[in-house]
Amino acid sequence: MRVHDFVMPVGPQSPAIKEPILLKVCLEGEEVQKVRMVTGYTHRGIEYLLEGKNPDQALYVASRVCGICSITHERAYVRTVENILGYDAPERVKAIRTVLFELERMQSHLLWAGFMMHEIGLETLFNYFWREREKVLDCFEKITGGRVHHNINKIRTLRYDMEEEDPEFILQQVRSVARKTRDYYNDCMKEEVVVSRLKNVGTIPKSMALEWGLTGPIARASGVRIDTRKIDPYDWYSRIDFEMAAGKRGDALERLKVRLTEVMESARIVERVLSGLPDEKIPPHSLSRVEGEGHARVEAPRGELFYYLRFKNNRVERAKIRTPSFSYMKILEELLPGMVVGDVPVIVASLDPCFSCLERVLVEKNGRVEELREKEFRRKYSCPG
Amino acid sequence: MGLKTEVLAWLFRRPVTENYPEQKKKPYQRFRGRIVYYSKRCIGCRLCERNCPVNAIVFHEKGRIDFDMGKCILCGLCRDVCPARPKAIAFSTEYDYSSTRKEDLKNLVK
Ligand code: SF4
Ligand code: SF4
Repeated sequence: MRVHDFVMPVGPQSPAIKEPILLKVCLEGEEVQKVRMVTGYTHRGIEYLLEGKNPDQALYVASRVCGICSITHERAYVRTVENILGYDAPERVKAIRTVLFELERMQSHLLWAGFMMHEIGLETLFNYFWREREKVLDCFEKITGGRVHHNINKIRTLRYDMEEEDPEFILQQVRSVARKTRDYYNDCMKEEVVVSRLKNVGTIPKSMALEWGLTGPIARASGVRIDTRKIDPYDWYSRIDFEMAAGKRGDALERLKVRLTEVMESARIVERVLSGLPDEKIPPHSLSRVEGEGHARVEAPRGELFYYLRFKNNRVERAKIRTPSFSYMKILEELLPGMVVGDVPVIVASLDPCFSCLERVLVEKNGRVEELREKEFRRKYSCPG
Repeated sequence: MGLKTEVLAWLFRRPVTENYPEQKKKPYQRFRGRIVYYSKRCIGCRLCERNCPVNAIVFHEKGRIDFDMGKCILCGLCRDVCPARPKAIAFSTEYDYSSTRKEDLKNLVK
């Protein structure tokens, strides 16, 4: 391998990339030759934090894995535990969970869309997308009591039922968000600046997407038809008919298309679920006893989220979380070479990485990455196991 | 409505942002803000202390519990498990209690 004389560090605190990641970019003129990715700036040891907690406590720790998709992590955790218990929630609980899940997707994609516009210099659209996102956050605050961390899911049930006026409020907000999103979507696709800046940038062909095992909007933008809501339906997704957004080219523009289409589709799902909301009482909350192991997956806004949990003496003994960002971040090292340096932030942002989700165990010392098995890791870094 | 009309229309409207801290947004009723502890209602069962995921609760005796709002993640589990009726733990809608001094990060007592 050639040694490149100029290595430019991008991140971990960079005005271009907002996430704590360090990309060592080797440049030849303007062109990127080689990239090395260094993570580890937001490692919190969350799987270790989960260990030793009782099932109800662990739910709240799990929901704090990520600040953008808190409901998703709660839902994945609850689905895992309910799988272990062999419990099937009442229809109304399922319906409300579906609504909240889709609201989460809407706000996450809107946040991303705004962020993307910011990266390519369209501050006005950035603010407009985020203004729409506020409406979804208002829904969350009204129903769950939290804007970012909602903590409404409970094992077997929900903390709050919806009030009588809530569905109307949600519908009003969601319709307005969908209408505006459609406007902005049309404008983006017509706007010269957006199209020329995003088209054929960071292209992931279908074969590459399959090879890397991508999931979520990125895979769908490359033409891979994969969606956990379709292939392993939970809650009301089997009852509700919805379109899977799909792209072809797999570049950043296609990813923008897919995500904005999903926002509109989520709004339709919310409308459909709310129109058929069953009228029944949700079970009261009580502390649970859980033994044994289980796993489950849900479709997070960024792709498939997988949980594995093992309980012993009513405590979490081992937790393994596979977040969507975890599976695809390494693709950057393959995607960036050959691009000009100005495209680096755009490509990174277009993947919608979430680093607090991503960071599990990766030990890097003196530029050398150690791969350790669980036992060795515990011994070396003194985590009593 | 296209983007251009939107931009033009918003030139003549009031901004959506608020003048915090002069103007404070009123949270919804379910909002979880600083914890309120009703010392008279507490039966001293310690369930809240035992279930807090981040050990933010220090139980001294029945009627005297400290909630460390610096540690608390506002999950609401302590309120959910509290067996006293009416519940001895509630959430106020006060959200801007950040402080530079640790002593200020306490719960409200009623
Ligand atoms: S709200 Fe949660 S973190 Fe805060 S004191 Fe109660 S149980 Fe502990
Ligand atoms: S759970 Fe409620 S009643 Fe029991 S000690 Fe805590 S505040 Fe008091």
